[in-house]
Order: sequence, then structure tokens, then C-alpha cells
Amino acid sequence: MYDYEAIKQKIATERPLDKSVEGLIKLDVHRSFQSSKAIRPDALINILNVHAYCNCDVQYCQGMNFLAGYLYLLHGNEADSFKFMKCLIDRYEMQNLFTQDVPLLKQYFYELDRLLYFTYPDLSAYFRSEGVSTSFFASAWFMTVFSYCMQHATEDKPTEMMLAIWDAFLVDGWKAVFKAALFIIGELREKLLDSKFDQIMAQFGEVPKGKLLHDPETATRFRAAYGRLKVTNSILANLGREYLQTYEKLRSDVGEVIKESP
Amino acid sequence: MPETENIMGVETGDGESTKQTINVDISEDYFGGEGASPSAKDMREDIEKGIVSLSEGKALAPEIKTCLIEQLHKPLGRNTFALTLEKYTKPTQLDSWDCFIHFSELVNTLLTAFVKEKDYNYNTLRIVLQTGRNIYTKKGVLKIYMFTQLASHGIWQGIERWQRLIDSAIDAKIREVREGAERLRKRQADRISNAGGVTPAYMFTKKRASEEEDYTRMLTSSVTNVLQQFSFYLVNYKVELEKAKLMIQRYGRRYKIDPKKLFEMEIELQIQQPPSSAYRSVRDHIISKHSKLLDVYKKNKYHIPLVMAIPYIGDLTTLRALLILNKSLGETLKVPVARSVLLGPRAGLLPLRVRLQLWALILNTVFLCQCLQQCVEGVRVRLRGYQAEDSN
Repeated sequence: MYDYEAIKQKIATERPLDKSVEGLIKLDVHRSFQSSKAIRPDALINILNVHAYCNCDVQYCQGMNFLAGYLYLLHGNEADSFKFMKCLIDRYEMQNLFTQDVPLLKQYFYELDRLLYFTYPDLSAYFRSEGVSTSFFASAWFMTVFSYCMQHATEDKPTEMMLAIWDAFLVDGWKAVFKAALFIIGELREKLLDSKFDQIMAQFGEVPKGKLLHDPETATRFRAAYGRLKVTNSILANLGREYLQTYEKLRSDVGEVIKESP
Repeated sequence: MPETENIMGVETGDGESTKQTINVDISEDYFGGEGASPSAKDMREDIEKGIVSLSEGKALAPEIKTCLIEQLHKPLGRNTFALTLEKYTKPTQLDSWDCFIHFSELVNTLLTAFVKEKDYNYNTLRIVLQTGRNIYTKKGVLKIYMFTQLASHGIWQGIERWQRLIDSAIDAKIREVREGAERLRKRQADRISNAGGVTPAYMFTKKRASEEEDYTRMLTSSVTNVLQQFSFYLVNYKVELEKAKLMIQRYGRRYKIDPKKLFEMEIELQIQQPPSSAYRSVRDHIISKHSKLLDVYKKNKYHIPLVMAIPYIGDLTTLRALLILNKSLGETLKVPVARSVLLGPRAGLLPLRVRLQLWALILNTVFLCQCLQQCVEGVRVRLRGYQAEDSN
């Protein structure tokens, strides 16, 4: 196990972290949770620095600041927040979301697009005709497990909807995030079908600030709908295989052209 | 031979000659312009009237419908119909479901006649493709596009037709880009000559090379756009996935499209395929779930009944006993316990401290025995909730 305080001390005295990483962490922290009094920027910087030190492969990636902030808001102390964040990233293999070229994220977009087609075929067809892909709006949903929405919360406590999503995420893993994404899209469905590209993007832009994620009623509806949304681990595994097969086939066709991707 | 076909010089029974004659641009006169014959003018008016009345939600009288169907079996009728459809360049909603179906039937008739009469006017097909995307109706909040009614037509399974459509769309795009580049070049040359001219070295080396690069880049991006548009059509007109992929790959190679873009197109094709392997049948699902349960039962015959009992636990002593028992069962109950509490109907009532303990339990940062007290507390809250509900 990691000794949080000792590592924090080491970082402060020996400065083992890359300067660019430290700079990026500072920059992002100062841009996030600006209106929150409970989330102290120096505490977030410490958590992220220690995490970067313990996770040499990824170090730091945008999005981690929101995860750390949300966990700090829940736990109220740095050490527990760090411990939880480290376990979370390891258990749900989130490092693949944060590595260069975000390979897992691309796969998740594909899976969400497919699930959207299965769940709301009309909306899926409409999105295609408007040139909208889930990758245009869902990256923060996956990378931060919706925690980026917390910076728009009016109070310094987690919203019911966030707790509901995280309860499900902790129990069911990524399946829960897909279900939450489908639930949110489903709630907006009627309006989306009547909107053009710009309006669609604007509506998704409003999600972190709007009622959907901050109204306790939505949380109740989400909990009730959770079991009905048809997303299972086997469906996700099959869709993942589908994506990788296409990718592998294309890679063998074009040889070494796409080197940087998985 | 019908009069209209004679006008166009169509020869029947020979596909090639038909192709050559019908592909020639047809003068506006034949569609009822100033120099059109009275019958052609009447036909154009009939077709236009029929389409307008359908789009306004007025159903067609049977005799008018029959008349329109007859016209669609003639090349000129098909062309006129298509050119009238071409006016629907923007998404258009038909309010009446019946009219939407009548409209689709007419377009399907056109497609059948197209195949039957060995028509080679691919402009008609291009317009039909666009129409399928532009005309829709609504059932509640559901938007139903016309392509859903046209997709089952056999015409779309002919790969050669698609290739011709893509070829002509790409050719048109290339022509457009070339003309645009030509116009730009001319404008620049005029500007330079007006400014007193420049050295030949400047004209023919650096500037020229960058112009060529710009032109190639523009061309590739235009062809990419065409292919992206067609990947949408291929999906929605239900062309077999493998055939569609092959076609897109072939064009991608021919026009040196960025492999990443090509990959995105293939993914687009795949995204909208009907659920196949991804969704198992209900039977498979039950069998799989059943066999999983059997495996668990073989390992520990108490596990299943205990897990099933969790949601029904009514008092704290039973829960405590269950959790103590769980220890001797190798803590196999911890996820079911956490699941039943966190995803249960009263999860909203959980105090934050208990919730965090349960999360930590799942993440293995604490053990179940440490968590027991909090779990019990959580259940107490749940019970209070039940009691409050009962008294209400």
C-alpha cells in the first residue's frame, strides 16, 4: 500500500515529478471547482501529484482533476480520496481511458453508438443524418464518470443523481455508465429529435448544468429505470469484440499506417 | 412503342443502347417546358399535383394513383417524378401517415420499374436516395424516414448500381473541385496581371506547387465527404455489411483516403447494423444465467438461497447472522449485499458514510467484517423508511 503522507512529503522536497506534469495539474485544478468552498485547490494538487507519482504510465490526464475533486468532496480528506481514486482507476482499468490516443474511449464511443441504435433507433438514425456522434459529447461522461458535472452544483455536496450513478458504477462497473448515458439521452430524446446539429450540441452542453443531473427527481427516475435499460456485460463484451475485429482488420489492411493507435 | 419513348430514342430489349440514350441530358422541354408536347406537359402537371397533394396531407384518389403508377413505368414519367422529388432538398415532414405510405409506395413502384425496364438513369436513383433521407413522418415522438419504407427493395442489393452511383457522385464532385480551382487560378492570374505581373519563377515554382497541394487536399476531402454520405446510405438501405465495407475500402484505396477516416466510415457502417451477435436470444441468456447459477450452487449450496434472501430481510438480527455466516462462506456475499443495498429501492436514503463504506467494500479497500456495522446501520435506515411508509 502507498503511504500517502510520505509520498506527498517526498514530492514536496525532492520534486521527482516532471515539471510539465506539475504545471498541467496546477493549471487544470485552478480551472475546476472554482465556486466550491469545500474543495481546496492545494488538496487537489496534492492528490493528483501523488497519483502521478504512483502511476508512472499515465501520470496525469485531463479529467482526473474532476475525479479527484469529487472524491475529495465525498471523503473530505486527501489520503482517503487518493486511496479511493487509485483503487478505482485500477479496478475499472481507467488508465486505458487516460493513455495517449485514448484507445478505450474510442471503443466506448462505438459501444455507446451501437447501444443507442438498439435502444432508440429513431434517434440514432437522426443523429447520423445530422452528423452527430456520441464522441462529440460523451467523452467527459466516461473519463470522469460524470463527476465533471459537480463543478456546476449549487451546494458543496454530491447531488442525488451523481450518487445514484456512482452507486451503480461501483456495483456494475462500466455497464452503469452506459446505462446512465442512455438514460440521459432518453430523457432528452424528444427535444433532440426536434433539434438541428447546433441545438443538439447545445443541449448536451447544458447537461452538466441542467436539471437532469441536479434534480433529486431525476435520480429517483434513474434508479427506477436502471434495471430496465438493456445493457449487459455480455452485450458490451460482444460490442467490444466487434469494434476490435473491425479495427484489427483495418490495421492488417493498411499495415503500419496507424501506428499510434492500439 | 409509347410516344414518349420514341421521342427519347429509346430502344427496347437492349440494355446498352438504352443506357446510352437515356443517360443523355433530357431537355426541360420534354418535362413540360415551353416546347414540350401537350401530353408531356399534362404528365408533368399530374405528377407534380400528385406529389404536392401528398405532401400537403391529402390522400390520392385511386384513379390518380393508378395514373401516376402508369407514368412511373415510362422513362419520362420516372424522370419527371424524380425531378419533382429533387425539389425536396430540405427535411420535410408529412403529417399524414397514410400519405407517407402512399408516397413510399409510389417511390417503390418507381424503383421496381427502374429494375424491370433496365433503366440506367442513375440520376433518378440519386434523387431517390436523397428523398429517403429528406422526407419523414412522425409517430408520437418517433421520426420515421422514408428510407425505412424503401430499404427492403431488392434494388439496393445490387452492388454494381451502388458503384455507378458512387462513381457519378465522385465524378461530379471532382468536376466541381476542378472548376472551383480553375476559377480561383484565373482570379489570381487576373489579380497578378492587374498588379503589373510577377516573375515567372514565382508563378511556376513555389506558388504552383502549393496550389497543386491545395487542389489534391481539397479533392481528397471532397471524395471523403461523398464516401461518408454513401456510408450513411449503405447502412440505411440495408446493404450487407461486408459488401458495403469492401466497397468503401476499395474507393478509399483508389482515392488515397486517410486510413483513419476510412476506419471511422467502417465503424459508422457497423454501428447501425441490426443486433446480431451482440444481443443473445432470451433463451441463450436464460441458459447462460442458469448454468452460472448451477456452477455457484455446486461450489456452495448455501450461496444462492442466501443471496435470494437478502432483499427480504426484515430484521437486524437475521442480517447480522447472515453477515457472520458470510464470513465462513469466504465473504462471497459481499457484492450481493452491497448490490442489494446500493441498487435497492431505498438506496437514496443511505447516509453518505455508509455509502462510502459500501463503495470501499466493493473496491476491496476494507473487508466486510469492518463494514458490517455500517451495513447494519444502512439496513436500519431502510427499515425506518419501510416503517414510515407503512404508517403513512
